Amino acid sequence: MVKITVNDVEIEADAGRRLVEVIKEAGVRITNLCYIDGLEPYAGCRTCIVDIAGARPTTLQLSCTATVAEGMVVQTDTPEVKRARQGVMSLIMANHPDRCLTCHRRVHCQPGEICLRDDVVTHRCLTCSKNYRCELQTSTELIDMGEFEEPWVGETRSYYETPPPEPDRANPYLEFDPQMCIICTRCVRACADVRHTGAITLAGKGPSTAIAFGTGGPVHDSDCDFCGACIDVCPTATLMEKPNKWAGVPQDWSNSVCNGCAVGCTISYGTQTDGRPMIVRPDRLNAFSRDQICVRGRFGYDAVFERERLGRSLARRGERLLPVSFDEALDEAVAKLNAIKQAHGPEAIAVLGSPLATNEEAATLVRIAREVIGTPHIDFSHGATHRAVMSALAAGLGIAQQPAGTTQLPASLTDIETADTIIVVAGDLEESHQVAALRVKDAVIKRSARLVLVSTRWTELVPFATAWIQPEPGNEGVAVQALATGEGGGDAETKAAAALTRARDNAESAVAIVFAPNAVGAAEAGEAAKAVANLAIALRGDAAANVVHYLPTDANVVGIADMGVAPGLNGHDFAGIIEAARSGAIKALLVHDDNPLLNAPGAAAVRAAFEAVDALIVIDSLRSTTAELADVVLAESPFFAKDGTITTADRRIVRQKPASAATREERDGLVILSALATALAPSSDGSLGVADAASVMVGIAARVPGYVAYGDIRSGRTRALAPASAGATRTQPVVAMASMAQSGGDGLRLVTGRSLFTSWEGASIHSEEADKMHREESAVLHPADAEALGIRMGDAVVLADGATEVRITARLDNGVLQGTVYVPHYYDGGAIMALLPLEGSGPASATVRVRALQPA
Amino acid sequence: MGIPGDTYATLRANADAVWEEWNRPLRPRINLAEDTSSLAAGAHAVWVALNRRAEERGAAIDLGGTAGYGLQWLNPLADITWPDGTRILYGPVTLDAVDMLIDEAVGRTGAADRLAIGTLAGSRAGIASIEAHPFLAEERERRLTVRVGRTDPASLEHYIATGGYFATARALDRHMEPQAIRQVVIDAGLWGRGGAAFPAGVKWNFLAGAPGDEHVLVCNADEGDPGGWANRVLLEGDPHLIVEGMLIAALASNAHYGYIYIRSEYPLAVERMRAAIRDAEAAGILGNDVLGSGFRCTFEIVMGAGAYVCGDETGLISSLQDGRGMPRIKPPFPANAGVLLKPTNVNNVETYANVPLILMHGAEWYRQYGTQADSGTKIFSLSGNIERVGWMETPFGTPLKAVLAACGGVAGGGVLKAIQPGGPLIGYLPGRLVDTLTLERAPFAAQGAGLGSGGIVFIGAGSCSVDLNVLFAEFVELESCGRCTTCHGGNQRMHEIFRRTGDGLGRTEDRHNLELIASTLQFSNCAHGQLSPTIMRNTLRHFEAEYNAHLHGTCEALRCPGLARFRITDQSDPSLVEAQAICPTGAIVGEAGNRIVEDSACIRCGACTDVAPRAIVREAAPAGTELPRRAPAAPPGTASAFGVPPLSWQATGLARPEGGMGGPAPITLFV
Repeated sequence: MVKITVNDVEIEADAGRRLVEVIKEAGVRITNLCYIDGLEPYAGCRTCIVDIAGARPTTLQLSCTATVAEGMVVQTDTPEVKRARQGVMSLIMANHPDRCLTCHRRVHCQPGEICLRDDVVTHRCLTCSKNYRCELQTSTELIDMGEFEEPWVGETRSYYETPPPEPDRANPYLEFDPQMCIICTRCVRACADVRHTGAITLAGKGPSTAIAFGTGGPVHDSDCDFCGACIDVCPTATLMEKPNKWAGVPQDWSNSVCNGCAVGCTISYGTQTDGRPMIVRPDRLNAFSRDQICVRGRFGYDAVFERERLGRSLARRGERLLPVSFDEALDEAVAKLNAIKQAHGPEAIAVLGSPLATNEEAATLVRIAREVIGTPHIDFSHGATHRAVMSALAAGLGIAQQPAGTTQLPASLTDIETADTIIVVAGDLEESHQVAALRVKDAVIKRSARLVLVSTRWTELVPFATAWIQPEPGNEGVAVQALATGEGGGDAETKAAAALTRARDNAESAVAIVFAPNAVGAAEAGEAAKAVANLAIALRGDAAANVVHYLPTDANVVGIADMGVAPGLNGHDFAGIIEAARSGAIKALLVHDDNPLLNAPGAAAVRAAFEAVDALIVIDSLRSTTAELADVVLAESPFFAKDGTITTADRRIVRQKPASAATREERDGLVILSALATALAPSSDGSLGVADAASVMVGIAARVPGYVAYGDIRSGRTRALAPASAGATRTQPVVAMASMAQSGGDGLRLVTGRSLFTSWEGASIHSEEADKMHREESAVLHPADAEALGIRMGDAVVLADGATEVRITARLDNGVLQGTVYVPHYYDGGAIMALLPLEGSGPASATVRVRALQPA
Repeated sequence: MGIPGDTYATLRANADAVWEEWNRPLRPRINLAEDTSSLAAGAHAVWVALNRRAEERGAAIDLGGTAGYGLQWLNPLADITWPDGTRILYGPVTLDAVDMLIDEAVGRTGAADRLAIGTLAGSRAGIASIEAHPFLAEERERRLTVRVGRTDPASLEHYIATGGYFATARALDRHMEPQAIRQVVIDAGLWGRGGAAFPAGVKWNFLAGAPGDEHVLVCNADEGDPGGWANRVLLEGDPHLIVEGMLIAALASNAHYGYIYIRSEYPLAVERMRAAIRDAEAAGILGNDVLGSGFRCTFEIVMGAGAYVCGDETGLISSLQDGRGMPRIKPPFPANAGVLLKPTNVNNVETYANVPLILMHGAEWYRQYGTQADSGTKIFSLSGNIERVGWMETPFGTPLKAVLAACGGVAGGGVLKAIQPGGPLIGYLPGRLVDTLTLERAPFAAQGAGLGSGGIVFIGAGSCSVDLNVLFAEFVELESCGRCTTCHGGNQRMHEIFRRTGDGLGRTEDRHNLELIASTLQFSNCAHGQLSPTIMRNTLRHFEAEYNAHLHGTCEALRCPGLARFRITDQSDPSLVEAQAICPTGAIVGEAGNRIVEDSACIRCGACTDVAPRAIVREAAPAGTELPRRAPAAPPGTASAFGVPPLSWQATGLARPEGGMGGPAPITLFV
């Protein structure tokens, strides 16, 4: 730490830091339109000029390139500094609309008012989407541009004298309006240096310098992933979210969490006066995601329009589901459940939870099942996969079960970006857990970490990898086991072995194994998990548990498992519940927030089960495909309106505060569950003590080790971890699944996975707009297979297994293994789930026949 | 491993034989000068004709190639070498002179004496030695360019036979310490010829002292200044000199890899340098075992992509790494983190070219010419409104007046209005200073200018300084890399102000705004932005009266589009037919006897007065004259924002300069 003086105030700062950051942290406002905190200075805008005493050749220096040194004396507001900044800013303003910025009446005008001063009314701050939240606007006010002469008015190519370039509004997420651009290149650097994507470039030179996506075409033709990191840094209205561009300034901000995947990036919802979230910004609370999110977090809340949500509860009247009051629906649901319980006993009722629910809702649902109804049959669609992985990891890594039945992996995801060697075992980490993939890239780019990638198809991580091993789908376990034992002789295996040997031999180097199995396929995931544990043991011996990062596919899988959403003693798991329902042993199903028709393999069996039961009670905010079959649907508020917590993959407890108030007759999930409990057991102590989310958490904290009451939670930092109880590690044998050659047949092995752009909610209501980009809604075939089948790029094809058929467009890509066909899980509301067998103990793979759809 | 001295001796013996054959050929040989300048003057067609005619006539002659000798207004140049060793330079050897030259070569009849410029070797009655030519009056001794125009630039043997690679071989043979080599260069007082004038030996000390052993050398051959082509003379005329200079620099600074970054507008230079590196590798002079010494050194040619700012060393390095050609923020400096973050030294072509001479002859010898502060000689490229356009190598300190006299003075005997030394960032000085300026750094610096890389453009009274400022402002604007708002924004505004002033729409507040631009542009990152207002500043200082006259509607030189127009004064002149045909915008309308120039269509290019000088005159435009029509401004981010191509040099009243304007251009545009 050294002492410097800023505007006559002495402050302490680390020597060598960029002066502009220190000035800003000291609370001094300064214009800096191109600097991004933490990145190397670009020094393009030249607006951060300050006076540094004794500097040469002039004391007026850029504070972004200057570094802090002992005794530095800095002035940010001398007349010379201001004049210099005004001169620079005037050149920026010459190519940007500035009528309002230099107008003496600007403080009196309101949006929508006709401008009395000037006839150019369409290019003003007051008609700009970024008005009142624009960094350029505040910067010009900071240095009193209104007082500065207007030197460049009327020059031939100044803003008002030239036709504006065309905006790009062709994609559903990002609007690119280059007429507002001041060429600060923050977006270029955010995309290249923060996200390692490089979709945005600086094109041209001199007067034709401009920002371009890819090679200068539409945004959606570039490599853009629509993460919006560029939107966060754009100082003008050049890059804006399309859905809410014109929504105005948020009235309030609400800390929340993205439920797009298990990373659990913290986000803030900017809300309007009517309580609707209108904008999402990353929230730095989660120490792992920090200021980065992906397209799901930024645009997921908007995937489903408000009018597509239920709003009112529904009850079946004959063939139709009709709106009824909440009380009527609740009474009907309670009557049905009580009738079945009385007639057939509590075990005739099964409960399905959801990884989209909060911990508080899950805990309450578990108590309803166990204490109020008294059934052991409770699970969620992907429960079997999660338990298979956890038991394999726990057994291998020597992790004891906590008293409440939970298993706690100690590794923190923040270790990934500081690792020297990273092994990623995933389908497509970039698509399933994008921010986790980002941190892997960070380690590769910034620390020259070596990445060994095990994935069945080409992903955006491949170019970052030292070695890419492409196993047969379902046999990831065998491939990882080969890494653990050092077998395999291919080129990639040799490179991988070299990297792993270096990691093993240098105990000081940091290792991270990122394991993100597909949600479907418990047996395969379990074997892969055993192999992952074996690999961790091979690399790090007894400390193996600290290097394994398990990323479930869905948001709160870890949390609801902690809460006990799992079959009780003699209880059926998900597949068992479905079988029992089909056979008539289970007569009522209570489903909270889940849509097994979308999520679970064996959709035909699931549908048959739902049709067989006497009572299907659904609690959801959407008229999902499951809700369509229900007898009673209790309307719940959307996820962003919920109060509660979720637990991320690395066990961070993240607090979610409601960003919206109920506008129609929907209720908070916890309120519904509480009312249901009260009505089901009027004789007991009433509402299970469920008053609000905070009090539920008190109960959880008392029961589940690691959880604490709200007052003690530092959202995104506090981790639900009990004191370590690591036992001895144990290497487990890995069983190979039937290889594609063994399983034979003339079809292709079907592979699925979570794709980046498709939203759960959109897919759940079978919306055609579920994937707004429509980039990934195709079956990916290897060109060699396609040629053999006579299929060309873009052909409509049929995937068939017996009578079940799925129609889809074909895409040819040699990134998939020959003999396989990849179809995204959420395509057409999970249509592909009908081609997979109901998940039991066996493998979940399927072989399908693919043929081109003949012209009619 | 071998002994460098022995390896060199073998190479030398072979080279001497080739050299002897070159100087005393068995039968007469015509050497045509092949460099970009002469190719632009039609040398290729001459070459084809020479070959065809020699074959058709069955003439007992050979044909060979050299580079031009520097007298470029006489292009294409050719020389004849007879078996007795006599060698005479001729020019301009146009297509109709081909037979004449073959006659002369075969018969020595004096058939081509009319085109004889001087003897390069031997003597001939009635033809003076080339050294006596008035254009070379200010040359003392050709040192850097001793081979240019005399040897075949593609021949490694010629280079070796004339002393090339001797200094390297000797240094390796005697195990000369790197430190000692650097000291000789420091003692010689060699400073960087690219414009910044930093002492070369000191710069090498930085590199030698940098950590690691992966030091990188870069040769900056991205010569982009309009009017500057000194580097091209060496690249095309003596490529091995540059290779050897870099090889010695590599020895001196423990570097094993070098890049030669050549602008893509110099395709011939690229070809010759590639060939030189290939030949040197084949001869064991480059590679893993330089001359058998065990020293390893490899050079690679990288072509530029047409950005002027890549002349800046960090911009060059960025471009060389396949990045966008943008000067970056310093520090770190290239000596610490250059190409691929390895310690790097960047020098100009001419800087490296001086090194073999210094190592061969010593610092003492080197300092024989030049002044105390500026030792040695320098290649200057001279163009503009002068009688004789070309390049010469003179000692530092030569009076500029004498150089102008050698160039035959201002074309047509007019007054010298201004000189523009060193490119569009360096300066623009009034012509009267020519009497006092000498070609060294200090006097130019005292005038707020510099020598730059050695291009000097002489500007005659027919040019207008406002009009020239439009040209220079457009150049610096187009060549801004786009990083600093001050530069890409400020130069747009500066260009607009001068263009508007030339259109007769200048405002009194423009002066204030130009000063605002000048003070704001200082806050740019690199020299391009910081120096781009230099010409404008010089104009306002030295040509204030002319600038102010424009604000009052007068362009004395009648160059500015809004203040001058063309009028037909003699309808009977038959050349009007050609003038009407040549007008690029069809502004001359009407039938014979009734032709007029349509002001709004006329772009004031002056092509018509070139072909019909007696029938069409420039005159001051009366108030209300229509301005040239221009396409409306295009949106930002699209090319050619004014919708019209940049004014040609012709329209400014200048002869076209060498070197081009930075953008890719076909080589036929050059003189």
